[in-house]
Amino acid sequence: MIYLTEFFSAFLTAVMMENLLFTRAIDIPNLYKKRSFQQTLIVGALLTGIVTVSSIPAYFLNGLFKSHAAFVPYMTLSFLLLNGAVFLGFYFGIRRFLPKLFSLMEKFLPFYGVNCVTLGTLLIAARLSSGTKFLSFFGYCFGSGVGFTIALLIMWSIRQKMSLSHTPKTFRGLPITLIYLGIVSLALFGLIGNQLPA
Amino acid sequence: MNLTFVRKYNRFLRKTDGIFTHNPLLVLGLALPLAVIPSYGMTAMVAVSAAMLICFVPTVFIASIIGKRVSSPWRVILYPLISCLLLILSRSVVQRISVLIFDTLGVYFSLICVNSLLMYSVEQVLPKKPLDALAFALRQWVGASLVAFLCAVIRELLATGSLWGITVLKDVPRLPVAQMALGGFILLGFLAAFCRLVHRIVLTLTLRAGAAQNENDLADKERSETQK
Amino acid sequence: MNSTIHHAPYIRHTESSRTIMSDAAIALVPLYFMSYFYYGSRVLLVGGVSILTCLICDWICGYLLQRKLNLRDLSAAVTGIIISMMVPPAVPLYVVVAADLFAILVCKAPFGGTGKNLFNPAAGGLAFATICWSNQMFLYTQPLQRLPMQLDETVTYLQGPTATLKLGGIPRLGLTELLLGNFPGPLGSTFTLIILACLIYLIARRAIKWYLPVSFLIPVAMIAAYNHPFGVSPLESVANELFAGSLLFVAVYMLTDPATTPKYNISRILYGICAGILTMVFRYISPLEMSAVFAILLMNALAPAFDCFCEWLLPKMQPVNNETALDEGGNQQ
Repeated sequence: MIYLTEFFSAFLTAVMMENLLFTRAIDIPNLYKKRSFQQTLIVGALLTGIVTVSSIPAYFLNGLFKSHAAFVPYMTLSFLLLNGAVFLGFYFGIRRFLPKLFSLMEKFLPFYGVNCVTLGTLLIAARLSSGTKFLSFFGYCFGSGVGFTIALLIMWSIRQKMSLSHTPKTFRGLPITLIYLGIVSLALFGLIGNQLPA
Repeated sequence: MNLTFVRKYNRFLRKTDGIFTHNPLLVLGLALPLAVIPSYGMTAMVAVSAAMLICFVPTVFIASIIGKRVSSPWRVILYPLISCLLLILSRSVVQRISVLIFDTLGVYFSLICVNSLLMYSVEQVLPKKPLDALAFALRQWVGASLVAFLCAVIRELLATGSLWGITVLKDVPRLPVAQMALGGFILLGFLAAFCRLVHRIVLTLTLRAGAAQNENDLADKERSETQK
Repeated sequence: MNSTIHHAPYIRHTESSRTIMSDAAIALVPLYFMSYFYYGSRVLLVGGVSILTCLICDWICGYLLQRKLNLRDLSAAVTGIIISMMVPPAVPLYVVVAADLFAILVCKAPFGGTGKNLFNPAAGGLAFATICWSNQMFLYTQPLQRLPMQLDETVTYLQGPTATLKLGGIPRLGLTELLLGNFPGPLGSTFTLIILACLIYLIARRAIKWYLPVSFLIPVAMIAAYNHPFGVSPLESVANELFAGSLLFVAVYMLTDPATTPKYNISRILYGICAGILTMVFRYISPLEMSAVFAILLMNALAPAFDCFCEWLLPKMQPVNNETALDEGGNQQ
């Protein structure tokens, strides 16, 4: 029961309170690309999958690095290599087992494999005070992926409405996107109050 | 406004592509984590810019040299790897800016090696020659740094009334929300809108100059025909 | 033969954006009377400053966007009234002005102005003020004491029952106190009886649909009854949660903003239910006392998703009728 609580508290923290896009402003390449609902879910599922699978070896690497203080600058390098290895596994796995999906996404798949979200989640989870427990680490990584998927869905939803109304030409496109990202970030700040995340 | 000036202005824009046109932060929307969170203060922004110069520009240069010899999935791992190695080298340079810089920047320093600006530029320079790619990377870096510096100055002044820790504005009320993520997003959004407004005004004046020139040409032609 | 030419439109509806906005404004003015009775004329100063700032800002933005001044558009006045209702009566005026400016300049004008906004401007302005000045936004005063126009040392600041609820305590207020708003609270959003009367007026005028506030309040009541603290009956817990803060005001005036709610009935009901659940989640997790406003902002972002869900769902509920029609007129194939 304690384990479930650890997992869920880390999961909920990652999804709502420290949402990667709205609170920490971590993006992926092609964030503003127009996507349909299914495409958004596929991108989100891919990111969540890569982050969750990389979190398992990352936990053990983190334990190894924390015990030897001189290796801390190399933590980024090792997480990047781990992330790359997991991404390659996903890439060749999708090419082998899901050829239809692969043919749709071949051009953009590499960008969703190694990016700020996947690497950033591992690094942030490693810095958490509860990162020494496996279920917290795993729950945080899984929650980050799910939280980013929800953020992408919110952006998709807002885009549906914006496409129907007449935005002023000065604000069309990127400016209004940044403004509504800021307003949703304001809404989520109601959850964390005045504490800035590290 | 005459057309000679317009032509000179367009030539200037073509040469500064990446700084004033196609700015990576305000037009392309790349490098969001580096623009929104670390630009809360000048020290952090100087550190991030220095690290970007050491990591981003050489990586793009190497990408243009290697070109298409490396296939797609391996490219995405190779270039962040090169950038990460350069980042480890840049730590010694960045540490001289401030002792606590790595604590305040947190994870954003490490995210420089995989940021979306790097991924975008690496794909763009594949068909280019190395020197062109170097110029492209430098222009992108200057464009991103300029905008981020402006954001950093505005946000630090609004939130703490100081620049680089030195108090500048004493009696002005403080707005701590400027240093949060939402302040960064909204400030960037309004800056992007302002740049687009300036661009549209210049376009309108260009069109008017062209229309005026057309009318002058037509009037000259009629005059020469009546004289004949 | 003389025939006068009339211009289109020939079919005129009695309802227009002006009538909807004036209905909302009429439903908000009685709250000023009650607030004046409790707190004195400072209420009118705060309300006046808020309304004027919003109107002037909206007119300037409207002129910049459309190149013509539309002085008949008074929707910004409703935003100003709502913002002034949810701030404490002893709040410094710059907080109100900042909230108004943020509401119009960031939440309304960049999206296109009246009717095209995605987020409720009043909610955005209040959220901004709460984050920036979270101390001043929650310092209330005792009702039935006249507040001076200029705030000075004679004003004693108190915490409201929402602070007690946030700390896990039990505000021991009787039902009469709760319904009349006779406790330290915001300027005008705790007068439950008047708000309920205004709700009936708005429903009768068809300015809002009855199921939207009801679908918001039912999950809140159920969660409050289920999570009642030890020593408090479920009904008392429900009364505390619903009436001790601005929740009812938000449900009647901010949730039902016509520009930001979904369009289909099913999606509106789902929207209300999700907003209610999200409000209670924010109440339990957030350190700030004002939770409904943030939940409304987040739900405004998701409102188009509810519409898309409804558009996906409705065709699936209809094929039963289409099949029987084809069988009867089978020759049409």
